[in-house]
Amino acid sequence: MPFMKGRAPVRRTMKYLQDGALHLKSEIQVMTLNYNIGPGQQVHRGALDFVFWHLPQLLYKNPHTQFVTFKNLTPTPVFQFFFSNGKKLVIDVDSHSKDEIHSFIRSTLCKTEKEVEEEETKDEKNPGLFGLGSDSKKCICQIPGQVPCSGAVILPPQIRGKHRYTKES
Amino acid sequence: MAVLKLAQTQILKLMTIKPTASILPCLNSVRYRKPRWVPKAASKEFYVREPTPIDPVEYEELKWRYQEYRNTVEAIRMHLAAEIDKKEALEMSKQVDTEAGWERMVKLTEEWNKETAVKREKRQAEEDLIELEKQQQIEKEKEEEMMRMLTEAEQRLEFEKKQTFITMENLDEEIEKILDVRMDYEYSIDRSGNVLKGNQTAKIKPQKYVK
Repeated sequence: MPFMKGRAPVRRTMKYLQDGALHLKSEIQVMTLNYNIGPGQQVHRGALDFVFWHLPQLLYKNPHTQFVTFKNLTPTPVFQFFFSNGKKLVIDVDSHSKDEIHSFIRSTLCKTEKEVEEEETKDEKNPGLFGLGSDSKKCICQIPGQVPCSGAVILPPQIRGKHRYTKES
Repeated sequence: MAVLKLAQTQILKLMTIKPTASILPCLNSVRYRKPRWVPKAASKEFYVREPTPIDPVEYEELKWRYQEYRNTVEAIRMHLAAEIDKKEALEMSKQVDTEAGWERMVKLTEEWNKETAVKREKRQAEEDLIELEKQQQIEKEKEEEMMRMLTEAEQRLEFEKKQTFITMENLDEEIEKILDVRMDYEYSIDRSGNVLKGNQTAKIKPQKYVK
């Protein structure tokens, strides 16, 4: 999309996406949003506004969750949450405003602020790193199955130049 | 010869530069292949490679040993993968049940849904009532329209009944009546379309023909 074009282009700004407050619980794998569009769909207004304003933020903040929208398939607006253990929660959002829906989801199905902070501050290091980038593994020789450093254990004779370049060998 | 020369100059050039990590791979990658259009070397023209000799006893032995080894390793790998899957699934379900506060979520959601359901049912009842009234109004209007049409039709029928029709009894009379009618088609029409009946036209004769 071009910059500052279309309806409410603020939705696509980095600042807006980063300000999203809905960090869904990590157990939630899929969220489906059923709502209707068109004239005379006043009860779906809140759900529609929620999708319009908060779905971009949800997508940005929850990259590992799948979001599916279903338009004009159910008579009443419904949000469903599918958990990793196969369980499911259904929320009826009939004639609720977008802010009501937002606050309910935030209080029930999202991580608490403390949890979010903890996750953000947690330093996830690559377990494959060794040497300078790693705290636990200072050298490749500390990884099991690798050749130990020659400073600690003398290398086998077939690798050492002392034996390889002598005339006898 | 040209190829060799090129190689030597390149190596010489490279040797003058201090060999660093960025240059060293270049040295390794320099290979002088025979271009595709150059024919096979004369010395290799009739060369046929001798297959590597295989010890039949050793081959037979290794055949089943390798098979055995692959089977065993695959079985262990599958077993471990299945165990890990089972463990992960168990942990995940535990996590959702306890850490995520499944019961709390369900409780809150049910409360919310109940409140919404009450509101929705109330609204739907109102809407149904309005819809019912609308339907009744439409039906009423339809009925009225029907009645109006019926009365109109009856009136028309009565009117038609009053008319005198030609029947077998009064056929001769009617024929006589029609035959008796004298029609005068010698009338004139003025510019505004008025029909001037009677034999008035005959009285005014064009001047030209008077003479």
